[in-house]
Amino acid sequence: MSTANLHCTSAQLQAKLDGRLEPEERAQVENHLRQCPSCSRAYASFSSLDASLRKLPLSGVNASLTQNVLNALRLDSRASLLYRFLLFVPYAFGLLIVLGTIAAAFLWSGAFQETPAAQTIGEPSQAIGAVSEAVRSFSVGLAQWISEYFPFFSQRAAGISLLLLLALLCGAGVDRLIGRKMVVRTR
Amino acid sequence: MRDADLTVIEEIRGGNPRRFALLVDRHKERAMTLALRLTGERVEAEELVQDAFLRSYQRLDQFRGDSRFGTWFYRILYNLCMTRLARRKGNVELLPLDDDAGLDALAAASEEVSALEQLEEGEMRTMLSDELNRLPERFKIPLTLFYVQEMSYEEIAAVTGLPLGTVKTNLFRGRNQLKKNVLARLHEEVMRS
Repeated sequence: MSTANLHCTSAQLQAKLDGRLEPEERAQVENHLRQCPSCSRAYASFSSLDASLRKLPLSGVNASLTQNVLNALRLDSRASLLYRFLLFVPYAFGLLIVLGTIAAAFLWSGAFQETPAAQTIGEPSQAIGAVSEAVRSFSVGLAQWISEYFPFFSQRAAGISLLLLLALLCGAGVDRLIGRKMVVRTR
Repeated sequence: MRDADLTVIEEIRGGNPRRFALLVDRHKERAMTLALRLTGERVEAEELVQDAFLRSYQRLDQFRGDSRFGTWFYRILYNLCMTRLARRKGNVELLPLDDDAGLDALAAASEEVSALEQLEEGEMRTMLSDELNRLPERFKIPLTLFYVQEMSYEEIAAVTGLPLGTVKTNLFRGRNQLKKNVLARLHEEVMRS
């Protein structure tokens, strides 16, 4: 209690409201409140505010929040079909690179050249030819570079190993990207 | 009393990670309320809440059980919110602080009656919620942690990293400021009608 004006301070009233006064001070304040209408009204006012604040409603949360968290942590076996499908995407992407690499390696080795099947199917379209050529050139260049610096690797083994590693890295990268977006964007 | 969350955490550590959903369900609404009060933007608040839950799961090994899980979790959320607010230059803070003389004269202001009690509950909630959102961060944060997260002074100090004395002062001043603002608004509305 303030000795200057013989009224309770705001801090004392609030501390009493919060149950934070020491027993001796609490007794003094309670005694004063019984005798002082002014402080008593101030206390009632704080008490009313306190009660109203305790009744403030909590903010609503998106119903899927828990599911999103579990999905992001990969903890829920009941994840939605879409989510499970999306989980495959990075690995499918990695697999595609691996298969592409193998195909390119075969093309590069000439295994498919002038086979009866190739002759039956005919020449690939220009676009496919350009892509194959690009993949092949990339594989050859990379493999030559590797085998130059690491002679214990054969050119083909070096090219395939490196691209396999690249496929894994790509898969992991896309996986992380999608996983992260699922946390934030899934509604 | 034993923190009910600790039991769940033990189950998670014991090999049942999906029990984490229970912790999320228990805390998500309060977490959202805090994040929304701090950021004022729903999508951003939800993103921060999700991020806080992810981080808390990933760091669950670091939770030693010295405090309630809530205190530990809300500290993560609070730090994320503060980091986000710090990036928004110019939007954080602050109204001038009332001087103490004004606060201690409170007892003399008996004419303020218990106008707060005269409001209908719905009106009161809306008004309080608005006015709480308008308070400066240093008042809004402890008040929200105290009333929404139901934290003690000590827990608020642990979450915000502020000294206990500062927490108390901000809480008291925040309540005073809030009461004054609500009464002023009430007065305005009475004058208007």
